Amino acid sequence: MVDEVSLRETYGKTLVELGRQNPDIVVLDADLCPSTMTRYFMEKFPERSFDCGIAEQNMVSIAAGLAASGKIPFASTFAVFAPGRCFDQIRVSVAQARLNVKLVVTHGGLSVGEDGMSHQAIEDLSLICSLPSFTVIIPADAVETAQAVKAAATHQGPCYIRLGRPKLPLVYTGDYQFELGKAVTIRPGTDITVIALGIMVAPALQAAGELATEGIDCRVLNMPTLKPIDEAAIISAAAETGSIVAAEEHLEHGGLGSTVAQVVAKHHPVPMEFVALKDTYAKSGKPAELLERYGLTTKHIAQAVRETIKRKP
Amino acid sequence: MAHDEELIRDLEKKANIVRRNIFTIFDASQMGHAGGTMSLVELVTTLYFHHLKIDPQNCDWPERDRVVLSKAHCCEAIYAVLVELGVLPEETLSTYYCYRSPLQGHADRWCTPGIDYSGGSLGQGLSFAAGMALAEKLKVLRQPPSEGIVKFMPRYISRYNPLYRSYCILGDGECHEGQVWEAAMFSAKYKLDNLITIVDYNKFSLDGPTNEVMQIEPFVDKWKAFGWWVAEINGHNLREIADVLDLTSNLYGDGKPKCIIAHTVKGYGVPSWEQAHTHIARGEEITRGVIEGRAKYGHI
Repeated sequence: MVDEVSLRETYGKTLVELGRQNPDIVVLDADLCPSTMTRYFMEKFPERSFDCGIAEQNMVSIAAGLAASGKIPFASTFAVFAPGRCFDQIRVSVAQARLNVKLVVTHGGLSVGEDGMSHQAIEDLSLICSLPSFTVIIPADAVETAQAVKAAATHQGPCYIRLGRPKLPLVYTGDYQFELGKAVTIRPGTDITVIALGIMVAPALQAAGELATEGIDCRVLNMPTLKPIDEAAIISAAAETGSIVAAEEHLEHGGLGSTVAQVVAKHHPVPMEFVALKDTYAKSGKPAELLERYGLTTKHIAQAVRETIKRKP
Repeated sequence: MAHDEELIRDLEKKANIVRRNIFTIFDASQMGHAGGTMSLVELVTTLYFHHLKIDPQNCDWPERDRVVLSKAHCCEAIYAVLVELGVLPEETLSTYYCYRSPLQGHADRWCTPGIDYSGGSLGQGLSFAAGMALAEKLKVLRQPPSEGIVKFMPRYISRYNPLYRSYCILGDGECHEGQVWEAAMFSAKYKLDNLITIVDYNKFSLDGPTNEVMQIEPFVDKWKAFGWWVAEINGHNLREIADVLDLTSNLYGDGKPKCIIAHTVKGYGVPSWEQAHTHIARGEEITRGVIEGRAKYGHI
């Protein structure tokens, strides 16, 4: 059994570490600090912590004002509320003003589970990636989360980091080096490439292992930075493996699959398949039940690989 | 804090120059947010030429007072001021709305020196100004490097002058936006006595009288209920504006954000715009208004 670690916990603890190193780091939350785990920072540095109450629009514009005055604000809430509830504030106060605001959102995707569709962020990546000047990161495990949060703190410009609610198995060991804007080949392969992010990375690896027993040599590419996307890695995957499956916990439109398809269509067209939520909202249920019902598991990735390989010329 | 006659006379002259610059902008652009720009003239004149701590030679001075024009569509008034301050060359006045001009349709911090806030979507400016006021409260006192220790100022209330103050200019119609009241709650909670909001209460939004479109009254009571210090003034009386602005500075340390409700007239100074409560003027309407205004204020 692989160790499972909470990405939110890791985020909270990494914030404390950053706060110790840099007095300009400030944290905002919208009445969710025990859920987003900004509470660790809030307990440690109360003078730099601002609970905005249930008012995400205000929180984002306050963060922008802080950033305009040299602070590095980390603002957190659920992924359904940012960008959903405060898209215009993110667009005008942050993206257009090109301010150094870090939005770290939790409870992304279907794996929120029981709370149902209002709380399942399945459109957030499409919305946030539509904004010029944003960097968008979706870590695959706790190791990557810690490094991504640190990278965002150093990066000049608006950042969006999406974390999920459940604990996730570790994909990486401690010596992993996250690099902003770079994909990581976590399993080499020559027949097909699965490009995945977030909670889909571990199932993608598992699927590749199963497919190996069928004689399919499947490359697995983790794409933690969705924007700006690593075009070179995608083009190499298309050229070297001749087919691609994209896997994400998001609607099929506007997320990883669409972005990869654009790069592929432009530079090196190959057959593609998309493991993602089809054009629908989901229901309440246990995360595992939902991922199964809506087609986001190891089995679904493996099936998509088999189908896509058949379409190779 | 009586201001002498000379100051008021100087401000009158400056207001007249600001108006002249606005007419130059409108004359060239043939379009603009005429009503809400004219209602701001005395407010921004007194703010910039009497009250603010700024350095026109150094717009990025870290200790400058911040100004957030939340009703960013009335940036014509600020551009007119920035030209008189020497921040912008006079030629730019005739380039408003033009591609390649530093004067954007809505104020933009990256395009125009002297602009702190990129606006255009109403209701966000007060939050942004509160964020800047909050950052001032967080000013860091660094110990000599040898000790390597970072200490913070005592939180929120200080008897000393702030490093800078944050000013926000709101429209009355803009106060229909819920976010204004989110920001009002936030500013009171964090005791932002270095934040001063000026509401240009010109009584009209695009669809009609502000209070008929959506009632904002009882307006003073609302701000008070949200924990703000509130004053009501005639927003075209230079002395009243100067008095109240300076008073807000003297009240620093009381832990309360300040709201100045300035009663104004939409299109002030230009009879046809006043009469029509003009919001955006174009073509004939703007030409006529500019002629009337220039005649009234003796601009040739």
